[in-house]
Amino acid sequence: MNGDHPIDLLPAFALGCLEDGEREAVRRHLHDCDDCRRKLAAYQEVTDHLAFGAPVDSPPDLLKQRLMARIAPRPRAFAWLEKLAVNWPRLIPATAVAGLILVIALGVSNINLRQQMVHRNMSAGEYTRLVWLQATAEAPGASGTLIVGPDESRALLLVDALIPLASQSQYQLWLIKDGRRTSGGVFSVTADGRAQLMVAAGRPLADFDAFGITIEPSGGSPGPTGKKVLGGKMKL
Amino acid sequence: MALVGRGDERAFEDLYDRFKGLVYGLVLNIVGDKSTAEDVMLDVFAQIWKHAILFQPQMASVKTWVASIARHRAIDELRRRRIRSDREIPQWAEAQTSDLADPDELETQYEIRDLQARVRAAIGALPDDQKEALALAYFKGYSHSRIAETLNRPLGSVKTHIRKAMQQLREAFRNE
Repeated sequence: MNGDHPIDLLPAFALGCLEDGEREAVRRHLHDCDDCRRKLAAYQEVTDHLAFGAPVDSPPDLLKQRLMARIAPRPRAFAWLEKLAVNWPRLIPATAVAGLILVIALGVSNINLRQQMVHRNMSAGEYTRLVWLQATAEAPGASGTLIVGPDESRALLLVDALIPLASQSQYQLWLIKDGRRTSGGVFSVTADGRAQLMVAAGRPLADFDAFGITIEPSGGSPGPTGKKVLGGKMKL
Repeated sequence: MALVGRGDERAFEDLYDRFKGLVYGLVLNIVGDKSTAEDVMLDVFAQIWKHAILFQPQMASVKTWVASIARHRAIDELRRRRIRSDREIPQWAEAQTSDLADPDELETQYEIRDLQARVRAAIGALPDDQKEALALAYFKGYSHSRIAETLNRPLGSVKTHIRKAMQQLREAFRNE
């Protein structure tokens, strides 16, 4: 560290080889430090260039045929995708949108994104739908998005502006079907109220009617016991 | 990329032809076996096809975007399958190697070759201990502690090697 600035950790942060605790500390710092973000950008560019230091090899010719056979006809109505891409900056910095798309598309583990956004586990695939979670009176200003993956049983939950809880409490996601609630996982938020959670439902998320987030004891509860902070309905 | 984003399959085939060597070589260097590399390669380009419409040219060049997708996907697969490579430490391309120039090569392929030459030279100038640590961090996605364990070196040394390697490369790229 250089004073209060984790300058010495920025190269490793760009590479994605920091341990969890160090990475979180750097991420929190970057949120408020333009200077370190600029320095980080230079190291991220170095990381991007490293791909060109790998040996080049030729794939089998048949692979191209397999690829072209695999890609599905593209739907023509993409205006909603572009609208969502514009709306994402309200949850995350605009510079993170491209990186987030990248993450969602790839199912990256231990993510190290250009925009220092998300470090989650998610299986490969692009999202197929978004579920917007609206704040209740218990969490004014908060927001959440459930980004459903291609096999529709996995999703990435993003939340913003939730109040950090005391150590004995956590937020818990609920998957709601016919009034029955199944836990989708527990999470804590960063100092600035953000969190990401990989959700593996074991069944298509479209099967559920709605989603909600409540405040629960640390580690979660078998069923909702605390105040609801975010909620949204699955729209077909 | 804009054409690919609008569903132009010919443009997508051109994109594939331009980047297949880069992507396959990178992925193979990460996962270590050809069968897995082929599967990952299909995933990478399938995702590029689906998300080309969301590519933002002001954020990254196409070649770095494609390479970044490939790296992340390959590392994800490496972890998912817990693949054990027959080479514990991935290898960087030799600094002096370069593909033969093709008089008909596309501008993008020329740019890639040029970038490869510069990057390989810069990496080649690094001390071996820095190169090894950097290779494990970049190609395997290892943390500092995992690198230290793999190389049987003190954690502090590994952190220093990574930091110095990246600092030296940053200067090398900045001075071009």
